[in-house]
Amino acid sequence: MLSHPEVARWNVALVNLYVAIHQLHGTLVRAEVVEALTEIVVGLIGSEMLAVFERSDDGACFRLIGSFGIDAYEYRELSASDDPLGRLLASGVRYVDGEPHALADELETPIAAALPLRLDGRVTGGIVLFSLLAHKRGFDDVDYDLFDLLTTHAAIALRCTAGEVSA
Amino acid sequence: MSLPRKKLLLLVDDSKTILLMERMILGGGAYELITALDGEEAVEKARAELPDLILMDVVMPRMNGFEACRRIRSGAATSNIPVIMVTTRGELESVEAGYESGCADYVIKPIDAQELLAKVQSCLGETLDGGGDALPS
Repeated sequence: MLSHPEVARWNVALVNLYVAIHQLHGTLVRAEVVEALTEIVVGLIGSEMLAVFERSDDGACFRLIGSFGIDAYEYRELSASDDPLGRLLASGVRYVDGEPHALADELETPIAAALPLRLDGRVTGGIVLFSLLAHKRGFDDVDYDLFDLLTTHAAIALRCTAGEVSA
Repeated sequence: MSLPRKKLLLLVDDSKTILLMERMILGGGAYELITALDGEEAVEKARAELPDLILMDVVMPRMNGFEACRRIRSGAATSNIPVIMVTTRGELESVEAGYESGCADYVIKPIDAQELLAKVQSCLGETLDGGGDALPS
């Protein structure tokens, strides 16, 4: 039987996951999907410095499609083979500051987390959290649940609106 | 015997994601919920609907949460409506420096569901966990 704190944590996790799914899949408009992604990271996870990338069809680079609190021009395009952050995203393995990652030492700028977006076994994009809100000391279980959800569902939501971009 | 009127809460935020989050936490039958997407709309709805409590974001287009709070608190009909500010820690410094805007309490983002429920119930004068079945714990 679950204890009171466990039930409370489950409730919070379910609310977060429901909200994220609802917002990501509630529209077929690309700008609204990106806005929802930004709001999820800012409002539910607690980062006000973030970037959302989409991988080019040939896989060579990650192009910035949304950001908050950063110099967007600086991150407008990351090479998937030469840029440390691009290589990290291309690896398909989630990075969280303080946790082991094969490419962690290559990062030139400290970041809080990098979430590769995956669809059908391919990395199709990524979300980078450069820092957390000052009062947030780290990620908790609910955040990791959201990371897992975003990995797949952000990729799906972006794919579903990919045609809109080129239309 | 008539049922007691549900308390009316006005949720104010320019983020539809946060509004949905707040609706999920505070919904479920305990309260009647209405929303506004910026401070100006919040002032209008506060005057028209006279909610029992307002949950107010700080940074919003057209009119920020502080200004909206001041206007609501300065209106004769709305001066007693408690306002809970929803803020990041950075904005909180402004909240603490400008408590004269009249907010009754604040909640820090990312929103903690249990904390939000407790503060709403406290501001409404409800006993904790006795005010409704919004988010079972």
